[in-house]
Order: sequence, then structure tokens, then C-alpha cells
Amino acid sequence: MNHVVDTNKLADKLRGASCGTSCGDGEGSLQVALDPALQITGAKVFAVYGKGGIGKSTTSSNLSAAFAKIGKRVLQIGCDPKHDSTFTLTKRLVPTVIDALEAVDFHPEELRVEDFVYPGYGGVNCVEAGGPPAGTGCGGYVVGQTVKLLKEHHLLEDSDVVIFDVLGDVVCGGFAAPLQHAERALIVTANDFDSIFAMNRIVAAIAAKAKNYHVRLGGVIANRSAATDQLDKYNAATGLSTLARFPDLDIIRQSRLKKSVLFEMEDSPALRLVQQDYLTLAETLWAGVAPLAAVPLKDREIFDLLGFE
Amino acid sequence: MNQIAPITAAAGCLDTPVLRQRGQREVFCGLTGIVWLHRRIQDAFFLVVGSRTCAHLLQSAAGVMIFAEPRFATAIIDERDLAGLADANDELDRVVSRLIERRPEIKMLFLVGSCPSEVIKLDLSRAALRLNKRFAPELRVLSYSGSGIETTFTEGEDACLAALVPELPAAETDALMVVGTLAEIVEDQFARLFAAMGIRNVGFLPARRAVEMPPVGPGTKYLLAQPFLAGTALGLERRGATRIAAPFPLGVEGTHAWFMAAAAAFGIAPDIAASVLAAPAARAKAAIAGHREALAGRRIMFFPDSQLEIPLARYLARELGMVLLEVGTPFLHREHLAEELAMLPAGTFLSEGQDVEKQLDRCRDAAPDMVVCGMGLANPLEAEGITTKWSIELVFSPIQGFEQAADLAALFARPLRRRALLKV
Amino acid sequence: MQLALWTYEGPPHIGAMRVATAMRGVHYVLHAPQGDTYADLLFTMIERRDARPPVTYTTFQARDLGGDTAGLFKTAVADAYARFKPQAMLVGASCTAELIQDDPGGLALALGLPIPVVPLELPAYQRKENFGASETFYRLVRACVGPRTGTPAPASCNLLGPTALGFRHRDDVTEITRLLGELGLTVNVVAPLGASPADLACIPEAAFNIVLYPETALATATWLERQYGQKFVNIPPIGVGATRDFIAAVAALAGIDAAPFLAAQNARLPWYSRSIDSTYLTEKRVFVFGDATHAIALARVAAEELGYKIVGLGTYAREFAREVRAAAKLYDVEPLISDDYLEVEAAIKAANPALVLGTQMERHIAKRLGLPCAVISAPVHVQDFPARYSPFMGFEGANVLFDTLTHPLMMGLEEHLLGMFREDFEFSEAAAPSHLAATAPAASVVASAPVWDEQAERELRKIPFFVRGKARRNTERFAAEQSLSLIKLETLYDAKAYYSGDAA
Repeated sequence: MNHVVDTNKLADKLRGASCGTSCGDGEGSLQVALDPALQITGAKVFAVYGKGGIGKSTTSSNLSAAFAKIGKRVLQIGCDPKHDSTFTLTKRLVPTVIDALEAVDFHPEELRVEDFVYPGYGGVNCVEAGGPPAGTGCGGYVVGQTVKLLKEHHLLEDSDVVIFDVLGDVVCGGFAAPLQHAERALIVTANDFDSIFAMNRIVAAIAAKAKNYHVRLGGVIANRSAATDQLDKYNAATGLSTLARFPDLDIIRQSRLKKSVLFEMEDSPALRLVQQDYLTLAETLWAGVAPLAAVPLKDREIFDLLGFE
Repeated sequence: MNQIAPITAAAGCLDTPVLRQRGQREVFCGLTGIVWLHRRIQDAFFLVVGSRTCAHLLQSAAGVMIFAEPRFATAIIDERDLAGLADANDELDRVVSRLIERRPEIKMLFLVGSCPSEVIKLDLSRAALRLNKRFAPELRVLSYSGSGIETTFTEGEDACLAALVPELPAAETDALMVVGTLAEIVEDQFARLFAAMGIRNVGFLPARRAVEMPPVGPGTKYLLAQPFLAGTALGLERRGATRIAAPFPLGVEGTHAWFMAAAAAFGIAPDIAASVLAAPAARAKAAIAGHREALAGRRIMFFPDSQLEIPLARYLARELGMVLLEVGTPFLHREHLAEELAMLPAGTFLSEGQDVEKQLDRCRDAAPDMVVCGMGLANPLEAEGITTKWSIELVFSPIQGFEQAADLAALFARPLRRRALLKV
Repeated sequence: MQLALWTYEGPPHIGAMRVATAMRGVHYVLHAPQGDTYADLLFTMIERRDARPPVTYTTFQARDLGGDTAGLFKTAVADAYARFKPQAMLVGASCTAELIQDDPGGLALALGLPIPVVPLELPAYQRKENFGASETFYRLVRACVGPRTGTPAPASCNLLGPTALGFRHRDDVTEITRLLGELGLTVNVVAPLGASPADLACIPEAAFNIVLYPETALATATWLERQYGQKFVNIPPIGVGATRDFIAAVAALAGIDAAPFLAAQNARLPWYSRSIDSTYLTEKRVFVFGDATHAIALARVAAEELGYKIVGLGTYAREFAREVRAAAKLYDVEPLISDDYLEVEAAIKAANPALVLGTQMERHIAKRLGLPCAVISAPVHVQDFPARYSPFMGFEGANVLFDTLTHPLMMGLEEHLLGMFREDFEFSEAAAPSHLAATAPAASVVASAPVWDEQAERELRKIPFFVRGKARRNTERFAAEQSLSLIKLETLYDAKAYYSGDAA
């Protein structure tokens, strides 16, 4: 009944404009120049989406570890009520933001950083948003609150890389909140019908957000896939492209059970390859991937596109 | 003795061009009106639906009054309301119920819209209807907007009174209605004068109690006591009432003309009316004479604030000999102020609306002897050596009528006298 | 929705204004609807500033919402820059403008001004004034701070935190700056109060920071430590004990021997507290409430330096709830973390204190309950900016605190005595002053005092009580001069007009 909020964004004009600071001080004057870090708006922010169970958390936490290995300050935020995004980094299921808020009777201003941010492997800072509080049906609200808290405590800008690991099938309300802060959205998928179908929906949602925010699709990460033929077909049809490909290795499955990231597992040639792939992915993302102007397919189109006759 | 200078159209400002500039407006929003309205309507409660800014404004404007748990408060909208997680109507119901529990003596509740409630399009009139059904007949619930987006300062009173008009009982007889908040003591003085003149049926809007609101109908003639009541006037006319055109009851001349206009409208013979007014008018004239010395020839500039600027300027110019440099007003109602404009010295510089920076530049260039402005500007201007009269005192003090004419003059004379007194 | 009659803190953009107004060379452009300019009054009236706060408001109205409010904002920024030529600008939105989502930061950036333009994101429906001040200071410092150009002298420091409209900030800064100077330290920058953006740039040139008010400066100091390795002292020097702790911490960081300085100090509080007429203060019950810094500090002063008994301790500032809870444990009281004044009132009633130390709201609660009280914290009132020098910090501050915390009780003692003598034949109200007995007028004089008729009496009661006495006297004088035996309604007004030329 209530609330039509008029959005009046001038996103196109505004994003990416640089502030023309003067170069060098004049004679006898001390001019104040804007801190360059502020201009570039801080960290590189990635939002990782994908169908439930596809390996987003495994991918995210190993990617975080890889970024840490190449010397970056990383913040990983799990946005799933299952709160299992970061446990391989911290070796435990850390208290969630919801737990912290409950402890202070939902007065967010009482919270301190140490109440909801936990350092893990390689110094990666880990946050789990958690699930919705009992009685409210909007899990997205929690994610929105988490993002707000991170901003208010300046965590987004004190990191070099921020990775949002977001609940898979749902891209509505608060779960879309990470897209308001991300530069690049990455989708984790496998080479099967269901994952690609889910990915298509996510592409559509991200495209919608791209109208008003500066998030763009960065690419696809193929997980647990020996072949990628279906995926390649989809990419060709939509304009997406695959950034990295991780085979279905048992060592990866084991790492989850051992609550470890890949960089901690026992050495083997196969492992070294995967580790290298992650490091390469990290370097690629850090250097910057071009935005993909992908166009989602209609359900009917996907149905016809994928599979065999 | 009681001769009023004849008003000639050629001498006035009916056709004077008015400067309009758009920039920062240094004026209060309509919520501020609650501070005096709640004193006036003694069994009403004003519930603002807004943000912490609204609550902060009200407590800053109300000053010490706030500690006596006055009959106004703010229902502060929070994140959950905005996120649509809490149903705004349920929340309002809860807040209102809690309020009524604490204050069972309240007979009328105003839900007052604010800037945030307007922007998120919270339908308070709907909520008022619903709450009305629920709490009737012990409590009547109305709504109006006091937001700065819609109302400038005293227009908050206009919005409130306009919300009352449709609820007024239907009039059975002809009557005079005086419209606009007046101090109790002034109202009583006016009531006595009307009675002495022979106008028996007089109602005041707003009345002191919710159940005492005056009736209105085609036989009602209304007299505006305040110049900022455009919406209320329109509402009254929709219910058949007709306006008695007159200047406003400020100063001897204005008050005299105001009463005479009422007398004429009710068929009271002019000499009878004039004889009733003679003694108080003479007393007032004598009383203000003492202030002429401080004020005559002094150059005064008005920054826009309450819409009282034009009648005040008229009084100061015509009866106290002040020179008008600029008279700024937030809004100039041509029809309601016609009589006033006709009485202003020809060629008076008028401005409507405001760009405060440009106006400050004009002020410094003109170097007036006195500036009437809000408290956001007064101390800074005093520090620059300019004497000021802070305008909100004019809204909160009784200034209308014969007995208050000298008090009104004193409000302007005192700052000048003080400056002359201080040796530091 | 939260039903609020009284709010301890204003919205967050007020905090931003407190930082902007404290500084020189900073201008704040606030996207806000008409009416938000009420905030200027807080500075020109409560703090009695002789200049307008450096804020430009867009003051949009209904007709503007149908058009280009973003354009309105951009024009305001461009005009403000041209007119005021600041060294740096702050841009942001008040609560309403936040809802229309015009993105002031992006809009201002698009103008490409040659100065730092710092966008402020202050969530108005979630945070309040102190957060606004803290966040604004943090953003400004981050935007303006320059690199360290050399090795700072070890005995150099910055004073961080004092703002405009701060509770005793003005005098605290003077007191602590002097104290540090006498201790042998150089104060590099005081910010935000009195600092310019160019001064902020020099912050790294000092060896360490002093957080005078954590509400405003803790976030900034924490960041400065991460960036430049500048350690900070976070011990508000309120009270003798805390001032000594503060000096010890500062001296340790500066590598200074504080002993000679401390030996030379002679605050009066310790002696006054030991003197015999302070004995009656022992274990007097005290309820303390306010902003966290002052509540915690005053509880310590009350308990350890005046010998009071703390029966209640609380704050409205949730950001520091855990510090207040920890302090409450020291005194074995239940901490009160609340911004609902009704809850505070109930707690004060229940605690049955002899003295209330709190904000303006607690002062009024105490008055209603008939309890002595003193104001020790923001929210501020015009009385909190006295003309005289009156810090709360340092050793002089301790002296001020002694008076502040004991005078209400002394007045109470006087009241108590007056009450005792109320029925006394010599000292009661009804008795004529005993020293005038010899010259008292005969009882039979003044037979012909004029009488007031009923209508006139009723009218007199309509006059505000604080001028009623004068109105009565003037009317009676007038009637006597006119030889009137009966005072009627008209007499009242005739008298008023007659005396109207006189001073009010």
C-alpha cells in the first residue's frame, strides 16, 4: 500500500567520473588533495552466485585464499542462511551477524567489528550473515543489514578484495544487496541442465541491476566439470564466457571434509594444477576482467538449446 | 483623534512588482505550528509521523515546554518500516493505542504528515479514517501535512485548520467567525468588543476545545485574523461562508479597520461601531506614541518568515514612521492581502520566496537600522553590527488588537534602545 | 515506528554539521527539504555563534520534487563553491533526501571541482548524531590527510574529537592544551575544532594521538593507527584520577617524566573533598546518566573523589554500551542502556537517589521528582555554554566538577533548613523580618487600598505569571493616582497603556 520510492538515478553520468584534483601545490600554498583510495572507491568487490550445491563456497573460499597468497587483504562474506561459506578458512562455523544482532537485542550500533568478523587462513576476514530471525520471512533483510554494518565499520574500504558468496537460486530483495556494491558478478555452474538453467535466471537478475548500479557480469566459473560443451553452447548464445574451469577432483571434496582450503592440502601434481588455476583466476580478477554484456535466454530458448536430440 | 488617513489606490502597492528568487529558504517547516496550536486547542494531541529530524526539530522549537510532556510527539519511522517489513498501519495503530492509554483526556488526535511520510507516500488520511472508526466517539482523528515540502512555517496552521473545516458542525444561524490562532487574552478582548458593537454570534476557529469548534454555513461571514490561511479560507467558502475583506488587526489603524469591516458586514451603524472602539483606540494611540521616537525614520528590512511581514510593515510605516527598505514574505496572497498592499507606502520593495544568500547581500548593501529575521541569521547579523528583531517572537507573543499595539511597537523599539544603552 | 517525545541525539546529519562548523575552510552542502534549516539555530542560539554554520541546504519543496532535484543539488554545490571558496566540501543528504536517492556524492563528483569533495553516507533511519560526527570526521581525515614527511618528535601529539555544539568542548580544549604544554608536549593539530583541511593534512606529523572524545574520534584514531602506526591515548581526563591516568599514559608515549609536573599540581578538589563540611556528602546516593564518556567518568569522580554511592549508571549511546556495562559492574549496579526517557525516569524513581547527574532531560525529571540535580552531558542547552571558563577536563575541570556535584546538595541543605523553620515564630514566611521590628509600620495604615472587581481579577490572571506582579502593582499605583477605589477591567488596560513607555 505504502511505498513507491521514486528512484532518480543518474547512474550513467556519475559512475567512474574522476575528481579533478590539482597536481602539485602552488607556491606557498598547501592544497589538500583527495586521497586516491577514496577516488577509486576502495576494494575490488565480487559477488559470486550460482545454484545451490554447485560449489560456490568452495570456490569462494579457495579464491579468497588465492588472493591472500598474492598479497591482498581479503574480506569474504557468506550470504547464505546455511552460514557455511567460510568454515574452511576459519576451521569452524563462526557466529553469524544474526547471532551478533540477537545478542544485542537488534541494536546494530552496539556491535563492534570483532563481534562478527573473524580472521582466517592467510588473514582473510570472514563474515557469515546467517539466516533470518524467527518470525520475519525476509532473509534478504539480513544480507542488507550485514552490508550496512560492513560499511559503517569501514570494512569494505579497508580491504583490497571483497567476495560476497551469495545464496544460489534466489536473487531478490536483500540477496540482491551485494550487487549494489559489487563490480563484477561471477557465476559458478556445472556442465548440466539444471545449473545452467539456474545461471540463466541469475544473469537476468544481474542484467536488471546493471541498469542502476555499476555491477557487470565478469564471467563463469565451471565447477566439477570434465567437459564444458553445454556451457560453451550457452556462452555462445548469451555472450558470457568462462573464466576458469575446475575439474571434479576428489582432493577438492576432501578439503571440505578436512575443513581446509586447497592450499593447505597434501601436495600432489593434480593439486598443484588446481592451486595454480586459482592463483591465475585471482590474478586475472585483480587485473580486471572486461564487463560482459550478456543477454539472458528465455526459458523456452534454453530448453531448446541445451541437451541432445 | 480617530481619523484614519484615506486609502487611495495610487498610494499603495497593489500593482508593485514583486521580486521572486529561488535559492536556499531559511524558514521553518509547517510542523513548527504544532508548538502554538497545541496550546490553543487544549484537548488535542498532535502526532507527527516522521523521522528523528522531525522529533529533533520539535524539541528544539519547543524549548523547555518539551519537558512538561506536552500534547505532541513523533512516531519515528525506522528501517523496518521503510523496508516494508513492518506494516505501517499496524505500527501506527500500536503507537496511537499506547498514546491514548497514557492520555485519556485527549479528545482530538491529529496525525501530522512530514517530509519523509510524504515521500514514501504514507497515506495518513486513510489511517485517520480507520482510527476514527475505531476510537469514535471519545476521540476524533484527523490528519494534515505539516511537511516542509508542502508547508512553510505558519502554513502549518493553515493545513491544520483546513483539516478541521469539513468537520465543523453546520450552522443554523448567521454568525461571525474569526479565523486564525490568537492568544486567549486577545480573543477575549475581541469578543468583548464585538459584543459591545452588537455582533452577538461570534465563533473563533480554532476553539479552545475540540467539541467547541464553531459551526459554519451559508450564513457565516468570516474574518481572517491571520494572513496565512489560504487553504482554510477555501474550505470555509466551500461550506458557503463568505469572507469579510479587511486589513489585519495589527496596530491601531489595522485593528480599527478590521472591526469596522465586521460591523459593516453585520449592518451595525458606523457611528455606533466607532464609538465602541473610540476609547481603546485612543488609549492605544497614546500608548504607542512613546515608541515613535525610537522608531521614526529608522530603516527596516524584513526577511521572509511567517507571512505577517506585510501587515507588520504597514503598521510600522504608517503609525510609527519607519522606512521600509525591503519586505520579504514567503508567500503573498494577493486577495487576502489586498487591503494591506493598498496601505503600504507606494514603491515599497516587496519580495516573495527567498534566496537567502542574495538577500543577505542586499541587506549588507542597504545597511538597514533593523532587520527582522529568524534566529538562524539574527546573531550572525548582530555580530556584523546590524540590529535585529528575531521574528519568531512575533508569532508567539500577543500582538493583535488595541491593547497589544504598544507591546508590538516595543518589540521593535527595544533592540534599538538596547544598542544605544550598551557602552561595550 | 518508535513513539518519541524526546530524542537524546539528533539525526546523523546534525553530527556532520557539528564537524563542519567546528572547522575552518569546510563547507557542507546538504540535500534537504525546506525546514531543515532549523539546525542553524542550534549553533547560533545554543552555542551563541557569531556566524552562520557553513552549510548550504537545497530546501526543496513539493514543486521541486516534480522536477530535477538532482540538478537543484548540483547548482547548490557549484554556487556554494563559488561563493565560499572552501578548502574542502562535504556533501550529503538529510533523512528525506536519502529517500529520493539522488546520490549527492556522485552528483558532486560529476562537477569536477578542484577541491576534495567528501560524500557522506549517514543512514538517517538507523544511526544518530554521534555516529554522524564520527563518520564525518573519519571521512574528512581520510580525504585530507597527507603522507608523513619526516620522523615526528616523540613529545608531539594531536588532540582529536572536539566539535561545535560539544558539551564543554571549548574549555576542555583550552585546559588540556595548556596542561600538555606544561607537561612538555607540543600539540601539533587540534581537530576538528578550529582545524582546516590543510591542518588535517598535517595530522601524521605528530608521534601519537589523544582521543579526547571517543564518540567523535575513536574511529579516526583507530584508522590512523593502522595507517601511520600512530598510537593513541583514549582516557578522557575528567576528574583527578582520570587526569592522572591520562598524564601517565601520555608521558609514557612521549617518553617524558611526568613526576615534576604532577608534583606541582594543586587541584582544589582533593582538599575540598577532605575538608570537614564535605563529610555530609559521604555515601549520598547518586544516579548518573548521559553520553558514555561523561557517564563513566562522572561515576568515577562521584564514587572515588567525592565519596558518593552510585545507585544507577546508564547511557543513551548504545555504541558504548559495553563500556558502560563494565563500569556499572564496578559499582555493582544494573546498567541502563536506553534512549527512552520514560525508562530513565522510572529507573531514577526506583533508585531513590539524593542527587541526579544527567542531561537536560534528567534535570527536568529530577525537578519533577523534587531531587537535586546537575547537568553533566549532552544533549546541550544554552546554559552549557557559559560566558565564564568552565572545563570538565583536567585539574581545573576537577575543581569545576567539585562545585557542580556539591552545590545542588548544598542548596538542598538550605531548603532543608528553611523547611525546618517554616513554622518558627521568628523565621516563618508570615513573620516580618526580625531586624525590622523597631521600624515596622503600624498595622492600621492603608485602609483605602483600591479593590479589584471580579472581572478585573480574572483578566489579571490571564497575564503570564512572571509579569503579573508588576501588572498588579502598576494598576494599583495608577488607580491610587487617579483616586479610583474600584479597579475595573478598563482600569487594567488604562494602566497598561499609561505605563507602556517605561522599560518592560
